[in-house]
Amino acid sequence: MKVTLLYKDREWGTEKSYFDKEEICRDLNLDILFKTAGGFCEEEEEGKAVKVAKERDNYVVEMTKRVMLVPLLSREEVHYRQQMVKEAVTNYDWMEELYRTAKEAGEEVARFAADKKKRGYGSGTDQGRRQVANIAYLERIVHYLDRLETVFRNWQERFVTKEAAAFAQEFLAEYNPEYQECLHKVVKDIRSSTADGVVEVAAALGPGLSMTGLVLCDIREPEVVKTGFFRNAAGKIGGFCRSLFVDETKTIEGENQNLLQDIGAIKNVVLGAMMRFFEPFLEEKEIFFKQLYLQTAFLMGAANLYRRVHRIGVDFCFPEITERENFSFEGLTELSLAIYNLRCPVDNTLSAEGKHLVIVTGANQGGKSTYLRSIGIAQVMLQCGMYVPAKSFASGLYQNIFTHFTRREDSAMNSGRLDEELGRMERIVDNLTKDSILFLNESFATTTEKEGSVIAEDITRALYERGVRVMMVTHLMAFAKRCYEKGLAHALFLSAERQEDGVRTFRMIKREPEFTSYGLDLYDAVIGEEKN
Amino acid sequence: MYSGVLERVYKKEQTEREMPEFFPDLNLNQVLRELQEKGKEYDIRGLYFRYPEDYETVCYRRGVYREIRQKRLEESIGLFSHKMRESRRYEKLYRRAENGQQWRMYLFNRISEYMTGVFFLKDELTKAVAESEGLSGLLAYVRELCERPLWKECMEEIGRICGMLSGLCFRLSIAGGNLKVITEPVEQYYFDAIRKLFPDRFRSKEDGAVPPEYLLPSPFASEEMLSYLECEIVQMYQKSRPDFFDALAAFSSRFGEIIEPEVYRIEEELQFYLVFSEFQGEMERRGCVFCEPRVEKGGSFSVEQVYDLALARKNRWMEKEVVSNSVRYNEGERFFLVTGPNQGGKTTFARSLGQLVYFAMMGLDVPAEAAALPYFEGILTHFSVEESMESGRGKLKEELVRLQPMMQEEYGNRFVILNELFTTAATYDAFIMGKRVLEHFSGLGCLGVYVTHIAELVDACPGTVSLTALADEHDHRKRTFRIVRRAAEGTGYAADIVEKHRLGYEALCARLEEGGIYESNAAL
Repeated sequence: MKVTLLYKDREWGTEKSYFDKEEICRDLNLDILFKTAGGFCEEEEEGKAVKVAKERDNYVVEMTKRVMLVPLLSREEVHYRQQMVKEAVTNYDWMEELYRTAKEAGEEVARFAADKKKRGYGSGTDQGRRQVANIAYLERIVHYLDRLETVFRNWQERFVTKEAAAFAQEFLAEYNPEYQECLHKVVKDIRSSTADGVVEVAAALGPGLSMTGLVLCDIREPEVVKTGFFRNAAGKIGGFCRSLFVDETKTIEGENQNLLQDIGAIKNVVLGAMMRFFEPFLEEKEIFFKQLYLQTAFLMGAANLYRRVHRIGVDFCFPEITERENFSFEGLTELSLAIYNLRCPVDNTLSAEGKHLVIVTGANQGGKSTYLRSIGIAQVMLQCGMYVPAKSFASGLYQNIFTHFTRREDSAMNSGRLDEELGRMERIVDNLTKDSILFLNESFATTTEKEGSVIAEDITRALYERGVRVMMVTHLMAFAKRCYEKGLAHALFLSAERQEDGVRTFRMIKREPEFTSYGLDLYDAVIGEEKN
Repeated sequence: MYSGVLERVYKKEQTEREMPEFFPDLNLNQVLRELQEKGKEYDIRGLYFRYPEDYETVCYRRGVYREIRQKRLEESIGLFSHKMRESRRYEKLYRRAENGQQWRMYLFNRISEYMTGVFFLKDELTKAVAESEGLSGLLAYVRELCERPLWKECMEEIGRICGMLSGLCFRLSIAGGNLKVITEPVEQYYFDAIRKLFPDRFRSKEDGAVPPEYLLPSPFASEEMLSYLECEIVQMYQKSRPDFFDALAAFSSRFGEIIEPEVYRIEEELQFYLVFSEFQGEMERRGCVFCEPRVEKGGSFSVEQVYDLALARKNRWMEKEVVSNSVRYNEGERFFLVTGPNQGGKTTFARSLGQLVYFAMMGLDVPAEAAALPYFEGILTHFSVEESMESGRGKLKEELVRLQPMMQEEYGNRFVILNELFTTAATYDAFIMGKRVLEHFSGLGCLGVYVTHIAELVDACPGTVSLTALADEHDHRKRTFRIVRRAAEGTGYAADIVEKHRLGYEALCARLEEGGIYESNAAL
């Protein structure tokens, strides 16, 4: 059966991630989110917070990252994922139990696969040893299936979403009591055939009178030897004592070495065939447990992240998927900053319906970058079916998210910085599709304001005219001003709020761009005060 | 006596088993290697060395191959061959068997496979209404065999013994080290109980028969010797079912000598067609084209889109296209004189024509879109090779020594391919020698291809046509590997080298001006 915790109709596999995921992670500070998802959980006890640092689960970190960076592309897919995330957040204990089982099984499966690869195809005595390992592995797999069955059965009545309930139901329907019983019996039979169980095969005489058409008839528990049975010459109890050729039945006692060898050969063939029948079963379960481990890791991460950040006081909501034009949000905060500072940062509200170019200008240290990042993070979370840190959030779906942030700290560059910057831009343009969103942060700032403005204008104009959605933060005031004066119908201009006395609120308001970025304020604040 | 599917006339001994000399030159041994791989245990090589002795043999083989392809007889013949192979395998086993009963059984198996194989072939050929000379002859031959009273009786007896054999089934019950043999019918199959665990593994169960997925492999490796347990079981049956063993004994004494070894020979000859058909099918699936050549005694020679099959075979793994060419010999033309730059496809072109002639004469389909050609009594090739260290002779002498046996007076009506003769000789000498060689073969009435750098030969020898490797229209350094009828350009070769080093007048000027060191000055 398919593990459909992430997608309704398929497993995790070849989905395309964002064009340059590492860039996105770096620019949007996503790593701190992944790490939070992987562990660190505060538990509350009797009203007061007790900090319980759980060991970080690197697999959860990794999987949260992988899944988060693959955008969902339809409303239905997002809705489905949201329901699963909701289930994980609400029924946290179930999620933990499921994940723990999946983790143990997933790791065992991976270990066995790695061993198998390492061993390769040995021969001779190896084969016997490998068969023993295979049987033990089969038993373990059945054990995990049993455990999963318990997890799903115990929670059957408590699911809050019908999607999670349906998944559990599908598993229980496939792994039904009848199937389970049959599986247990066969595994027990395999075990007993290697010990003292009775193995019965049918055969006929073929070419050259050799045995042919071997078919397995039965495997059963050894028959209880009753007292008063016939003893043979060696004093051993012959388990079967029908005399020779009466009703064409022959008994050969197995004290003969040659015969023992032949019997061993037949039993090996039987065991080999049984295990071969289980090969596809084991392969299927290997994929199943791998998928389960991987998919539950993401849900576990999503649940962890929610718990942790919720405690800081950040509001979460499941975003609404709208047309791309209807972009708006209320009370949106920047999540990585919240985690970093352990408190809820300033929130922002925006309605940008019908605008596909948003230009943010304004005071330095006014929260412009944070603002841009908060939108970026929320968009990424929306597109992987997570909740977002806002009171409400409505946005469309994009095939690709691009970020282009200045890297002032990047000194390892040998080529000129503008060259590097424009190189990145070119790469983005090369891979741009119609349904993309661009986050530009202080782009083209590696040259003079005048040149930068020209470059920015050319690029922005081209993008604007082609309807590409662009969110940009810039301090190229000349450029911003010119854009504003053109009176573009689909452009929106925001500015960091600055009160009369120079105090920054870190809120963005709709406003005409001004020539100053109020760096003087900052200069005064830092340098001027010293002088005073 | 039936002559077989390769020859029209029955010959007791097939002597020609050595590789014809043109094989390596035409890269036919590469093709042959692959055919041999498909032919597994047969001596495919030997069959392909049998160049036909006369025009009628070409037609005879042609007829057989055409009929096999058109009526899709490959599968039937393949099944027949399989039975014959099994029969031969049992023959080997029965020669080695130590147990007397086993010996008799293998003899029975051998004859039974053989007989059912021949009857099967008869039925299949009858159904297909064999009409080519070779296959209708084969049908007549096996029909005669199958109608012999002894053969009919033998078939009946085989049926009866097989019936008895199917009753000799038993169960083995193993508990620890103990074993019980029960000769009662089977009550249940274990896999019935576990089918639902593996719904995809089992096909729907047909009533009565044991599904093939249920069968276990044989636990005993040796076919030549019965295991201890098998011996015990045979002994048990010897007591309980003596009738079966009596029937076996009677069978071996009555029918032990029934086999006609001729059938094995014919079966081997059939592989000649089977492996080529399989190979052709594979190549066709990869986009290579084959056609049926029209071979007529003294007919004209024209071919469309012929390509080098050995090269196509190599390239198919790389998904590379193979260049094909269309040419014809007009009235009075005897030799294609191919000139052009090195690595331009001259040799490949010459090879492709040689292969075409070979496959056409063998009666098979040819690697081209259409082909008509006369009957050739043989193929003569001479490709330049590295200097021989062993003989210590110079290269020119080496070449002449190899050329000498080809230039015999009775070798008329051959297809001749001469590749880069006399390259080490002075141009004037090479011209004279080349002229003589061409005159010799033309005089004998041979057709052929002569690959050379000496373009002047065209004018010197009547009956030669100039072909040249075509360069790309836009960039004449690029090869197209296409060969067209066109007068030779005597300078093409050297100009390429100059160009490669960018030492042409214009290129040199441009390079000098590039750096701004010199300026072009119209006044000078």
